[in-house]
Amino acid sequence: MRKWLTAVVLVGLLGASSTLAQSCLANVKANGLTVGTSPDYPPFESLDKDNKIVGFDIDLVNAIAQELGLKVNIVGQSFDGLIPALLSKKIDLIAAGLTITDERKKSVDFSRPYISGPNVIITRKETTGINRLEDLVGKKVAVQIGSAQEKIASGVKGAEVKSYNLYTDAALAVNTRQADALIVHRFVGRAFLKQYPDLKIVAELNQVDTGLALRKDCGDLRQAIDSAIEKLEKNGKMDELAAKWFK
Amino acid sequence: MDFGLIRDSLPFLLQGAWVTVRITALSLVFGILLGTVVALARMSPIRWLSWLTLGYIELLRGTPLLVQIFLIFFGIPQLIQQQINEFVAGVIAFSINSSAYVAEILRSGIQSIPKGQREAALSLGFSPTQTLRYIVLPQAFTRVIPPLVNEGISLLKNSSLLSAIAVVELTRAGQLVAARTFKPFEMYLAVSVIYLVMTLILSWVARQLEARWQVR
Repeated sequence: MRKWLTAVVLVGLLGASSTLAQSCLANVKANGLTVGTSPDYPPFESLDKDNKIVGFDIDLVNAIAQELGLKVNIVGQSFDGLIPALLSKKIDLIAAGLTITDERKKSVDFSRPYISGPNVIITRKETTGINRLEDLVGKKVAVQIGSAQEKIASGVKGAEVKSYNLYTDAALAVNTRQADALIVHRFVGRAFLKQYPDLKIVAELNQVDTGLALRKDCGDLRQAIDSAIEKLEKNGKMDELAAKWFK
Repeated sequence: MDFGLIRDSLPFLLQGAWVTVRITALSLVFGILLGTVVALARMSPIRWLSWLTLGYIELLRGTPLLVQIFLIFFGIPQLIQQQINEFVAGVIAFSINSSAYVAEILRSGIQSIPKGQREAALSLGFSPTQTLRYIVLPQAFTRVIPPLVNEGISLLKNSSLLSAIAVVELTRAGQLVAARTFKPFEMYLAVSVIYLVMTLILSWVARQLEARWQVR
């Protein structure tokens, strides 16, 4: 009886360890690639008029999935919940115009960067006296909660950082005078400027890299995605997508 | 579970809780003041005034509080062409919203006093104002304490909606730490416990008040 029990336990343990060892790549091949994003960040991702999530990141993920023969399932959710969702395995990949930072690297792995660009400061056209980061002292600075830009704003001693759930709300806050300035990635800033003609870009800040984020134990999936990105860069698909969304 | 994180972020959370308490207290006071006026207007014999207040109450009860907050926060600056502090915007939104509920609580409290008492008072020579002041209101007051405390508890919990306009109250404080550390579970657990402590204190105070002002 006892031996029999031991055998059952052993088999159980083996089974458990084999599922643990199962690769992320095999898993997403079998179950599809679940991608988390926050569609308030045009042109990386936003909702079109049919409320479908569209954008550069979505096209990129679809192109990568095509290279790897994966089925894609895009999930829209709040930005600050993306990394927790990834860590708790609700999603396999974050495609949300995510800035690669050392702080985030402690919790997640990043793909090779697929876009580089500066952050910018945006104000209303009538605003004067904000031309660099130091000018934000004593000003209300709108950003998104959990964003890399929130970190930049918090670094300015004396600036009043206002963190909104959605980046679109942060832009709206500046447009409606509820905040004095917005810090955001340049590509996104340009998209907001199209929406709010009363806003202007007043300064360019640090250059940052943007990447896709994965769990740290998904090295095989990261390698596969990296080589797919490399291929898309070589065959011109990446330039095609950039021209489509960032022109 | 990362209890160290909860311990380290406790001062920041308590700061947020203090903002929550201030917003709730201010909104409840203004809500009761405004709500009293609305309740009196609602019971007024002047037809159009009564109908107007009914519209006011239905409008506020029939639209989501979050939408009202956004309307005030993003709308007022457009109208007055000036920034409005988000704390002030929050208190304005909550006071107005609360006044609708308080008005209905007060009205039901006043109308729950049997008609016979009013008639008796009037026949004993009390004026209508005196009847309201000495006979009806003191009795109505004890009856409305429990629902008013409920309204206070609702306000306290609903103040978490102000996180959406970047007021760093208790929920937002927790969200900010969670967004930085990627540990939402620990943070929301701590936040829940702090809310619970605050609402338990409110209920306890309410029970003391009820016991003291019990109709004898």
